[in-house]
Order: sequence, then C-alpha cells, then structure tokens
Amino acid sequence: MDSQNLEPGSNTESLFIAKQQLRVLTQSLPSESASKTTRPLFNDLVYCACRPNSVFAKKTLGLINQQADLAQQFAWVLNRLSFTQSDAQIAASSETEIEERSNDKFEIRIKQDRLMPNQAYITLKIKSDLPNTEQGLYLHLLRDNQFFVLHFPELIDSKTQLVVDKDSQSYALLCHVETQIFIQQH
Amino acid sequence: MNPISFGVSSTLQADFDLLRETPNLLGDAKYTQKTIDKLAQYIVCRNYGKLCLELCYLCWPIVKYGRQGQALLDFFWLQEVISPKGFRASIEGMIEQHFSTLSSEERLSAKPSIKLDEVGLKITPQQQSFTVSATRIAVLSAFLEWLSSYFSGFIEELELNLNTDSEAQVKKVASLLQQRIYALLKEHLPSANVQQKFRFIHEWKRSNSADVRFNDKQVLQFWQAAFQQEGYVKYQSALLDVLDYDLACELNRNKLKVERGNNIDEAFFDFQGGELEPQMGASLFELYTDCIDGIADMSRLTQQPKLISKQQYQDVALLLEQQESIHRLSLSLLRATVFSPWQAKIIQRSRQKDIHSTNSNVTDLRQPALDYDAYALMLDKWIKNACAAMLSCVGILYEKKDARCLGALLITLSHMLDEQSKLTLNSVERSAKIRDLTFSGVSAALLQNPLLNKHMELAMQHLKANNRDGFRKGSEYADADIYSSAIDNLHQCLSTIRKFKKATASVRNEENYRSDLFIFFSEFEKRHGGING
Repeated sequence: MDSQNLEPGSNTESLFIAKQQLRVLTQSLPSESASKTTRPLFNDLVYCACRPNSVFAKKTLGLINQQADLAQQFAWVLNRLSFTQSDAQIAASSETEIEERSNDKFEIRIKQDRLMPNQAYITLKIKSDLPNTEQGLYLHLLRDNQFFVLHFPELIDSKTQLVVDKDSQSYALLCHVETQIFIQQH
Repeated sequence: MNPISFGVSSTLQADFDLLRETPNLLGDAKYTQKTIDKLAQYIVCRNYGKLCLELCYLCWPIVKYGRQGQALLDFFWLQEVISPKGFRASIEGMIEQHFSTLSSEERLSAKPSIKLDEVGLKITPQQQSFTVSATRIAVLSAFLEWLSSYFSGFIEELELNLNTDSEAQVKKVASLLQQRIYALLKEHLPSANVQQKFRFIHEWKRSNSADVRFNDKQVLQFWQAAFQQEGYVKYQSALLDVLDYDLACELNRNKLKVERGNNIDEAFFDFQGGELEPQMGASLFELYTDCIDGIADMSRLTQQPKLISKQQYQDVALLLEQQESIHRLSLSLLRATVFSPWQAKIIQRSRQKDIHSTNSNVTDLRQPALDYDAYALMLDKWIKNACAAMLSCVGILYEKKDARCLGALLITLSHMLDEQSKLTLNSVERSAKIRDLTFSGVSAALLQNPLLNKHMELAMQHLKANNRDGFRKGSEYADADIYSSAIDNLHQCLSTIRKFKKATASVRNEENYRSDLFIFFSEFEKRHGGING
C-alpha cells in the first residue's frame, strides 16, 4: 500500500470526503422531512409572483409573509416584474381609508353596492395599452410586510371589475392608505 | 441519514432538494435531476472556480445589452433560458436588437463584442475571446439559482457590478464570488465527522491487511470490528464507506495518469489552502461524470414515463449505483441486498418498542424476507417486468411510426429469448442493416420475419394493457426520444443485473447463506438485541 499518499489530511482523505458529500447532495430527502419547507429559492419567489394562484405559490407566499428578508426580496421581484405600482398614499386627512388611487397607467375606484350594503365594487382601469390580458391581472397588495394577492378577470375596454365583501381582508387592504400595490399581467 | 455525518449541512441538503423540485412557469420541474447532480458535483469537488468565471462572462453582455435593472431576471427567470436551443435563440435576439443598428466599426469596438458561433456565445472584450458553450446553460442557470438563494440581493448586485466596459472588472467579480463560495462551503460542508470516518477506515486497513483494496472477507471483518464505532451500525453503511475509501485511494494512485487539461481555476485564481487541489478536484469531477449521469438516468425510470415502480427500483438500487464494484465485491453486495433490508426492519421495530413498550407486533424477524436463492428469483422476475415495460416502449415507437422501434425490439428480445432464437435474430440484424431502415423498411422487415412480427404484436398488446403514467391509452404520449432512451436505460439496468447474477452464481448457495445468516444474526443480536421478539 502506498502509505505516503494515504495519510490523513492527504488528497485521499479529501477525495473520500467529497465522495461522501456528493452522495448526500444527489439523494432526495424523504418527503416527510420538515427542513424542506423552510426557505424558498429565488425561483420560487419569481414563480409566486407570476403564478400566484397555484398551490405551490400559495405555500411560498405563506413563507414569505413569515420572514422579513424574504418579503423584501419578493418586493424587489414584484417591483421589477410589475406593469405598474402604487406606493403607500398620503391621506388627505386623518382618514386611513381611501376610495381611489391612480397614476399615469392605472386607476382603481372603490364603490359601495347600493343593494348589498355588505359589498363593494372594485373597478380597475388601465390607461395605457396592455396586450394579452385575456387571463386578467393580478394585484399584489403589501402592507406591514404582509403580501396578499387578488385576481381581476379579463379586461374589457381597458376595464375590469371585482365584487368584494366589505369585511374581507382584500377590501381592507385595497382601501388602506398604507397599502402598496403592484399590478401584474397574468 | 444524518447529513452532518456525511459532511453536509442540512440547509445545503435541503437546498439541493428544492432545486430539484422548483417549478418553471408551466409548473413542471425547472431543472433536471442531471443538472442538479452536476452542480453538486462541481461543488463537492471544489471545482466551482470555472463556473464562477463562466457565469460572470455570460452575465456580462446580458446585463450590458438587456433591459436595464432586470436583464438577468428576464433572461434566467422569465424567458427561462435553460436549453441550448433557447440559449441560441435568446442570444440571437439580443444581438439582433442591440447590434443590428450599429456600423461594423461600432460593433467591433463594443465592449464586449459578442457573437454566436457553433459552440455558443463568443465574448470578445479586446483581442482575446471567452466562449460560453450553449450546452452549459442549464448548469450555469442552476448555479445562479443556488447562489441567489444564499446571497440575498445577489441578482441586483451582479446587475450593478457587471454593467461595465472593463474585462478586468468581470474577472474581479468572478474572483470575489469564488472567495464567497469558499467561505460559504466552509460552513455548509463541515468535514470533521467524515474525516474521522476516513481515519478509522484507514487505521483498520493499515493494521489488518496489506492488500491495496478491500475484498469481501475484509468488508465483513471491518463491519464486525466497527460495531462500537459511530456510523457503522448498519452493514450497508460500512460497505458504502469502504467503497468510497477504495475509490479515493485508487484515484489518488492514478492521479499522475490523469491528464491535467485546461484548468481555469489555476490560471485565474489563487489556490486556497485546505481545499482539494484543483487538479484532484478536476479529476474527481471527471470520474464522477459517467457514474452520476448513469444513476440520474436510472432513477428517472420511476418517473414519467413510469417504467418501474419505486419499490422495484429500491430492490436493485444498490446494484445499479455500485455497478463498478459488482465483480470485485459481488458477495458483499449480495449480503447487503439480502441482509440490509432485514436489518432496517429490526431497527424499525426496536424504535417502535421504545415508544410502545407493549408492542404486539409479531412479524417474524428471525430471518430475512429473501434468502440468496429467493433474491436471485426476484431478480428473474424483475427482468421479466422490465422486459414488459420495454415492450410497451417498443409499442409506442411503433405507434408513432418511429423507425427506431425495430432496433428497440431487438434490444428487448436480447433479454427475453433463448440463445438459439437470439442467433437467428443476429443474422436478421446483420442482413437488414436495421439502423438505416426507414419506417416502411421496418414494416417490410417485420412481414418477412415471423419471429419479429410476433413480438411486435406482443409489444402492442403490452402497450394496450399498460395503465402506468406515460402509457395510458388516450393520453398524450411524450416525445419518441424519451421512450427510446428509456429502452437504453432499462437495457443498461438489465445488463448490470445479469452481470451481478453471473458474478454471484458460485457463492449463492445454501451453505454460504446459512453461514452468513449465522454471522449476521449474531451481529444484529449484538447491536439491536432481542431479534427473537
């Protein structure tokens, strides 16, 4: 045996270590393992932004809402991917509820339903040309490091509408001045 | 399995698992198992210097000529450029968009100037060029993905640092990246426990044997001697570690034979102490390539199309993964395939006993589920099942009017027929020049040969009765290539299994089994106690 090359600390030892490590990294974890769900990849964040309705994205969003640094990264992704966004608003008075917001690309109006006092109409109008909106648009809402997503149906004449319950989380967020909104194509 | 005892942090292990599962925008797995295994190979072999450099050179023109502030996001995540074809198309689009309006002089003076050649993307900052091959895109994309999950804000940072005219700056970014990975791996590839294992094996070997490599007898002796050593309760763990030890020694012995090759790590970066020498890392990397690729292909057999069940894969996984050692350590592998599942059950029961002291589980654990002969019979059945799956694939190729169906049928038949019939087919193969046939030629050849025709009909019947994923009637079949390579992979499996059966034929007798059973029974009794219940 070539003992000189086999001493501990030698190349042989390093090779042995690398081989063992490779075995771990090329095997899948058992599916019940808990450590799987702790930290999403960057790709998971992008997927969550682009396909927010999927089961996988909902799971990822749950994780994002638990960890501030992930929320920050996710906001960065949304910022880059969104068609337009609306930052927290400045309220005219001490009111924290607002009934409309707009910029040069969009406008949101919240209107109470006269027949159903518990409901409100949310109208989203897109001011510039936006192709391929048959599948509607997503509104990512952010407040207090918590994200929430809302899907609007297909645009007709640059407009789309949604009815929401007034005691729902989406209504509260849409009305709140501090909510940041990212509008994204499907 | 405790990853630390194999020198990997659980975070790193979990990340590689996530990489295998993370979806593309269509909802399928974004990276193939092969790509992620390859990335693992680069990382554990400390061969990432070259990757850093390639990644930075690739990102440089993307950042410079793409949409400002989100070029990398566009390229790697929205366009999901991950195949060589997609890579070419995307780079072509970039050149078209950015360079078509420039004069030829302006094009040449662009920093960097880029073009697509037959290899991939050629980046020329000044006189010298750097080429990123189109075939590297999947692994580079996965590498960037992995880095982005560790270094928060990494994409933004790259966008900022690579928006430059200076090649020296690109190299600096790559070099700094390499240093950061070095620090990261110090934390996530902790080697102390594995070092201990190595030293334990090494000491034992030095004081017990003068042979270069372990033989079957020594594997067993080593495991018996290591019964109080952490990590060697299981026979299979001892066997696998011994195989790794032998491989490491062999590689080190052969290191002078390994061609050095063009090692970018050494050219651009200072070698940092405590790491695997770049040259050794590179040769280890080369050595793993075939074996890793092979295993990735094999484990895919249980996915879509589903050729074998997960249990069936498990029954032979050890043989497929250790096929290099089949001749040298056939008895050790046979022992592991027969006694290790038994040991796993004993361990499981002893754990259950700890929880429920009044366990009424009366499963007979006094001997393994299969003895040597029964395992061999199980392998025969395995071969039969695999042939049925291969016939289904042949059926699909025929249905798709793919001329490869005839070659695939002949491969399948080589595992099904007796020697006499095989001889007949060999002559058919020689006379018909099967590989050159078109599909109508195949149909003609089938009509002329009743034996082939009969089996092609059998293949169609198998396909009809097959209700597994990827074979169901009415469902859309995948690309013909997938079924064709599935046949090649199963053929490879069957060849390995046959090789194993042949290698163990002389030791697989009742007498050996009885004596091994006695040894393993007393070892298990010693380690786990109370096997009799």
